[in-house]
Amino acid sequence: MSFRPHEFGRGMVRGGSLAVLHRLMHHRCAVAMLLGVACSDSAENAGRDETASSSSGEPSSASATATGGTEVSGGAGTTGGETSADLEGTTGSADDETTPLPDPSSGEESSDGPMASQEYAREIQVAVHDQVKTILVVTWEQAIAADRVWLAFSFEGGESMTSRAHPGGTGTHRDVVLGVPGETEVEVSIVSEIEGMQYVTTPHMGTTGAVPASMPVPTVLAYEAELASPDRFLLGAVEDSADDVGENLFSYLSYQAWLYVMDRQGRIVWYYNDPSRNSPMGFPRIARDGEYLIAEESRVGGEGRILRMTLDREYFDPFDLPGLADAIDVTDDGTLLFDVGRSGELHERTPDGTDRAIWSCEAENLGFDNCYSNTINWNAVEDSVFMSFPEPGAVVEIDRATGTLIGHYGNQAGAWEFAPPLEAPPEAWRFGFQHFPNLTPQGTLLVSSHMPGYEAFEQTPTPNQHAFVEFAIDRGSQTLTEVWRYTEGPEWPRARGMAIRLANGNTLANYGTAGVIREITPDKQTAFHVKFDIPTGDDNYNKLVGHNFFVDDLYALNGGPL
Amino acid sequence: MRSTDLRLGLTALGLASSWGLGCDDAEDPSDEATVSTTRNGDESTATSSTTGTTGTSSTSTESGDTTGGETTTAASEGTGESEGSGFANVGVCGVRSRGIVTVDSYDAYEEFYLIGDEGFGEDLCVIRFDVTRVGAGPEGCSQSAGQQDECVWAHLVAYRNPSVLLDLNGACAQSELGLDEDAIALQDGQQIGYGYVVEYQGHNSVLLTHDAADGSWTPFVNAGWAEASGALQFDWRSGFCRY
Repeated sequence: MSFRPHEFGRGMVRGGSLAVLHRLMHHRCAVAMLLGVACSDSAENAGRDETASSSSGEPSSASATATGGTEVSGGAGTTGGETSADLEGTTGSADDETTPLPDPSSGEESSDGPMASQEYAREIQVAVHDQVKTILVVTWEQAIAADRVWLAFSFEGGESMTSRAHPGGTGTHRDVVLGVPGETEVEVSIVSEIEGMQYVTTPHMGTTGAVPASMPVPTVLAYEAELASPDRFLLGAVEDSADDVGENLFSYLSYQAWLYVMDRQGRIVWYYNDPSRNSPMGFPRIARDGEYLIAEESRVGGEGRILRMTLDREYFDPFDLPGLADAIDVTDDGTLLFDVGRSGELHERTPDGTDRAIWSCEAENLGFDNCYSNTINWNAVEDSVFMSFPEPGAVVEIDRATGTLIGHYGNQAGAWEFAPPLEAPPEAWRFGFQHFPNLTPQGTLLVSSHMPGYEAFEQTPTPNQHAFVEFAIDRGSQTLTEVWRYTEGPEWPRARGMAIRLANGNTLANYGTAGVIREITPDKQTAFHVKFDIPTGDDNYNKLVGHNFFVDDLYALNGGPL
Repeated sequence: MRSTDLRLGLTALGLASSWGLGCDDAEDPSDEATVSTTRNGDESTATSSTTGTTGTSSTSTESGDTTGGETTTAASEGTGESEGSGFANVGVCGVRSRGIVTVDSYDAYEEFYLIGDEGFGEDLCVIRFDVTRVGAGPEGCSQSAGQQDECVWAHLVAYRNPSVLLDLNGACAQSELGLDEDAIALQDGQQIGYGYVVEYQGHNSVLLTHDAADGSWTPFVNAGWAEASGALQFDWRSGFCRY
């Protein structure tokens, strides 16, 4: 078996504290655990609650987590800035997992493991990122060239995590610690790999800064790990809607907007907000042509802007996009898809900046009374684009290359037929202020929609009358046939709402203005339930959430364009 | 820092630009050369003295394609005293409003503010004006109603009864906000046209302002208005500004 550095720690070792391991630093197994791999030596200790000793004979209180672990007393760590290894500063436990140590060089399991060494990486500094306080920036001087170098880190006694490996030439290096909540002490070591052998420094301590107090705070109402997808993080957008937004519904989109990454405990581990602007921002995307984020800013009066950034903002490339109407998507060659103006005109902007009008709602003249579109979703399989027109209750699918209408689903005469529902009510399907039509990996159409009879934008919120509904598309007979629906959630999205199918078959859904996000199993259990709550007023209206996606490897959002 | 050619009858955006407040468009709060204010994505020079609204186009160094990203970088780096400004810290300036508005009445307040710590901190300065209707809005609002056909209301309003609600360490005057007694007095009594469009674009509902110089109505800020209660609110961030 072989390991890539950023995979270390994923399901390998839990509860391995770097500080405790530091006490064992001369012990090869300890170093192995620091890296998130297990050591054969530890097999001897499995199931025991015993006192470990370092090679110097100094006693250590580390104990196997199988017996609950033993806290190591010590002083506080440092807060940001330059830190040094702090033997006394942390709490943790060793791990008792006994998986043989892999040998990354040979791909075979081996009893050999990383070696403790301070010779390779020197002048190590850990500092809080200037702009994103939950990121730690680690710099060091690589004194001896290595094939590859990376960070190994952990916090709160959790699993060991690693950054991406990069070439380990001599000189100054920089890397970042991602995935850590605010105000959290982190133990970081630098791993240098030469010819398959890994050399690791003693842990250095850093503490992330505070998440801005003005950021909306999510509440995790449920998390069933055994039901949930394996992804550890959720990327999304949320507006800091005011407490009385339910009494002034048109005030949505007038408050500060935030992008975030939260972990499964609802802790914010990354954020973006520009407090100097008034820019609704609700539709982040994960780039398909690189490792970065894309988000829109729909400024007042149709002056839009697109933001492209890595999590650490080493790459940050915004550009103005006049006329940007609402949502966006991106293709795998970096082309941006968006719509402009009241005519519902679909455009693409290629990476070289070329703008091309692909299709126009007004020109197609499907009889819509309003050509405002709330969704742009690219279908990579067909190279088509789904657009959603909530007012007339219509979804169209456009061939991107030709601009040809290849699908028209919805409530109008001439639209494709809905087959009878799986069960009544409803007696027949209609779209109701639908949002985010998209194609699942199975080729079905997944839509967030008010149920028939409750279609109107101004509809009084009604529990269980909103559906995340999936249709099979029969392109031959031009028929949509329901295959799955979820109406168990009592929440009501007056606007927005989305659902996407995950790799494990679950559905990640949100309720827009209701401020609620759910991960739903195929049998309609809730695996993950998050709320951006407004604790006062009408619970139908909370902080507005935008698009969201699960992410497991945050470094896959930090590489930049290819 | 504050310009002496104060224009009358301005909203906060007018204040920012005509006073030369340096409520930048976020791009580089530490750079004196980019002092400007943004409205609707357009840059206006800090010392615009024509109408008090957005005025002339920018002479700043930003292109619009490259600068937003440096927003917080610049802010962070700008916490050191910027050369010539005399102000050591970076905050965010803006104006926020709450009130009750009908098609026949306008009874609100507006608060000009400065938020510390690069906009992530606490209020350092809050100066409130009553803003009330003094007449019908100028003609033409509905011709500038975005994806809609009309403004649901338009009023001519006036600023009155200024009061300093918060002024930590003299931040109101000792900042690029520049709201000292003279500046406050100049704003007292000024008039401006406001109009409102529900869902101007997408779901964004917008407050428009009237430019008396050219007679145009232009979107000012996303704003919420509830027809049933008449509740109006908006919060317009004019950009980074130093203090």
